[in-house]
Amino acid sequence: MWSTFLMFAWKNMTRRIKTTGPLFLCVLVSVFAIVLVWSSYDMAKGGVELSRTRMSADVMVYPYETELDDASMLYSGIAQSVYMDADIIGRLSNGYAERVVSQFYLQTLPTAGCCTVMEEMRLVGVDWEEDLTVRSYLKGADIDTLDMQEVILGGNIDIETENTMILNMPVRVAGVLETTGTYLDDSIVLSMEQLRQLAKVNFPASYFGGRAPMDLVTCALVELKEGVDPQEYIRSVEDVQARKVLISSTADTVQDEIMVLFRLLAGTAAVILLLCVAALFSQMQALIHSRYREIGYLRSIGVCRRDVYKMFVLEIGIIVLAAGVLASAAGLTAARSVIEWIRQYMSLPLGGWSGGAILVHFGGGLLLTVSVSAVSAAVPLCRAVRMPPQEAMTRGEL
Amino acid sequence: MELIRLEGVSKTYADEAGPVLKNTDLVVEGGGYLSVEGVSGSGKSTLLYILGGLLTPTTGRVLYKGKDVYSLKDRELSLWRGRHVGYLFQDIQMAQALTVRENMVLARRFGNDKGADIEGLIQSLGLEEVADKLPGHLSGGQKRRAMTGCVLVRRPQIMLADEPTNDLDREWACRVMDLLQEQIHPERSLILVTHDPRWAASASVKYSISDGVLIHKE
Ligand SMILES: Nc1ncnc2c1ncn2[C@@H]1O[C@H](COP(=O)(O)OP(=O)(O)OP(=O)(O)O)[C@@H](O)[C@H]1O
Ligand SMILES: [Mg+2]
Repeated sequence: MWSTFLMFAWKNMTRRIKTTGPLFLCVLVSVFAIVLVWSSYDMAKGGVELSRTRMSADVMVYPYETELDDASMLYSGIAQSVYMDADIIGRLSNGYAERVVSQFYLQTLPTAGCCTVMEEMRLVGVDWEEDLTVRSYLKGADIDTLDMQEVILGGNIDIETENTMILNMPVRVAGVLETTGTYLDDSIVLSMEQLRQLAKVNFPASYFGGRAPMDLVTCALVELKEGVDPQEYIRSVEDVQARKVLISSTADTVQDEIMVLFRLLAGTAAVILLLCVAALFSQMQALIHSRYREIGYLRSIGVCRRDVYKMFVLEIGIIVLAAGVLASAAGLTAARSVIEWIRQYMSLPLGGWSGGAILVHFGGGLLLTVSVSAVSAAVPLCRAVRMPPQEAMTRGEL
Repeated sequence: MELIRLEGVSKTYADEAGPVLKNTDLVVEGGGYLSVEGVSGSGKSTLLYILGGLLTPTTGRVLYKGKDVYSLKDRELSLWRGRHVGYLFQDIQMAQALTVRENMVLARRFGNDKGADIEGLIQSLGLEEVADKLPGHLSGGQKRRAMTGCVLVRRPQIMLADEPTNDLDREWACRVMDLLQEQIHPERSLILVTHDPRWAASASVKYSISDGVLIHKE
């Protein structure tokens, strides 16, 4: 019996494109708009929140010469061979600071291509025991110490875990970081001391302006004592010649910018959704109304009410689900492009696109599809099927 | 053997002032051939709808082999319609998205004879050329013959033919009427609504309707 219904549904769907097509389009457009805005918003917001909660540092300090704005330095900072003296750390550690930790970045240049890692890649040297940023993103169990020849891989790094050489040194992969949407994803983390040594051996001294890598850091992260006003701390280290950035306010600024953008997007999506749902309701009404005669005829040849429902639910279901699946998938794909596009204009940490998140957004899109369609179809379909066959046949239009 | 019986049936449509059918009694025997004549609007189609289980009468009962048809549950009533009632509607009724052949396959699915010979029917109704066309693409006469095929393919016990020769030329009218009369059989009967006195006269039992009252002629 189901094959008969399926055949009937399929033929109606394909041979009545004038009524089924607009229905398909309505679902497609509305679900696409919603999934697009919803998932790109979640992606952007997730990224900011992730980095905010994980980052226990309050102030970031880096050289004036760095040609990046604060948010870029914080989230997408491209490695720059701009360093400051390590003795800055001592001057940053005053009564307000709980602790000050430094990081040392190094780019593996293709010219220094002496490693199995061929692409240009950022190496991040951290003081593992004191670390405030990287360690919190570690996947799996925490690692107490990072030995000299051990490395931690960023979420996007895909190299063999065995027999890997970095700057001529064989290394062992000790752990992997979660995807953060920040520079960390494309970084290899190792101990700062080890990295400075590698820098000394593999890079010409001119690269560091004649200074010894051992005496240099790329940036410093300061964690303040409980209750200390960050502004006050910044005033207290005024004489330190480096740029000081409040991490929380940078994150706030980014989040505010995202919010404004997404309110705009959400508003547009809401208007689209409203128009489409209204159109969907009238399309559904039209589709079913145009079939009154047919429903009456079907009943006259022996199809019971329940089977008429089945036939129509199959038909509408196929149309709507096909549109919903397509729209959800397209919405998710487009969301990535939206985020990429936004990232061209502002620094944005991108939350990892986990399988779970994809499933939630995809499933949400489908749920929206099914529920809106079910609501719009229920009333006209019930009315049509409950109608006495004679009335349905004399009322409907061909 | 009695197939179907109307007992005190009357019908008043929701938006009509008076009854269209008044206190009607009728017995249809197996093998019976009845004709119903009457002026336009006298209630002939209404009578057939009620007989076919498609329109609930306002009062009275419709009994099929003694069972009240309109007291059946929807599923049973539908099953009964599919198996036993073949309604040749006055207006063309078919599934518009299915071709003539597909329409016949669909109808056969719900009928009395799951193995009915569709190709034979297509041939005897002269539908070979149009069997794979959609109803909307057929001429009036072709539609009429296609609908006839969709009813015959179910081999129903009670054939309700509402002006079955409309849209047909003389020759096809005769062929279709022959096909319908061939169906009559001790277990099957034909009820024919027609304006054409020639066909009305061919029936073994003749009725006319006037002002909602069914009158047995002769
Ligand atoms: N669904 C309906 N709702 C209200 N009134 C109806 C409905 N169907 C038929 N009628 C009315 O009932 C009366 C009888 O209609 P019916 O179709 O039974 O006539 P008929 O004898 O078949 O006429 P014709 O020869 O023109 O087909 C008409 O006055 C018609 O207007
Ligand atoms: Mg009529």
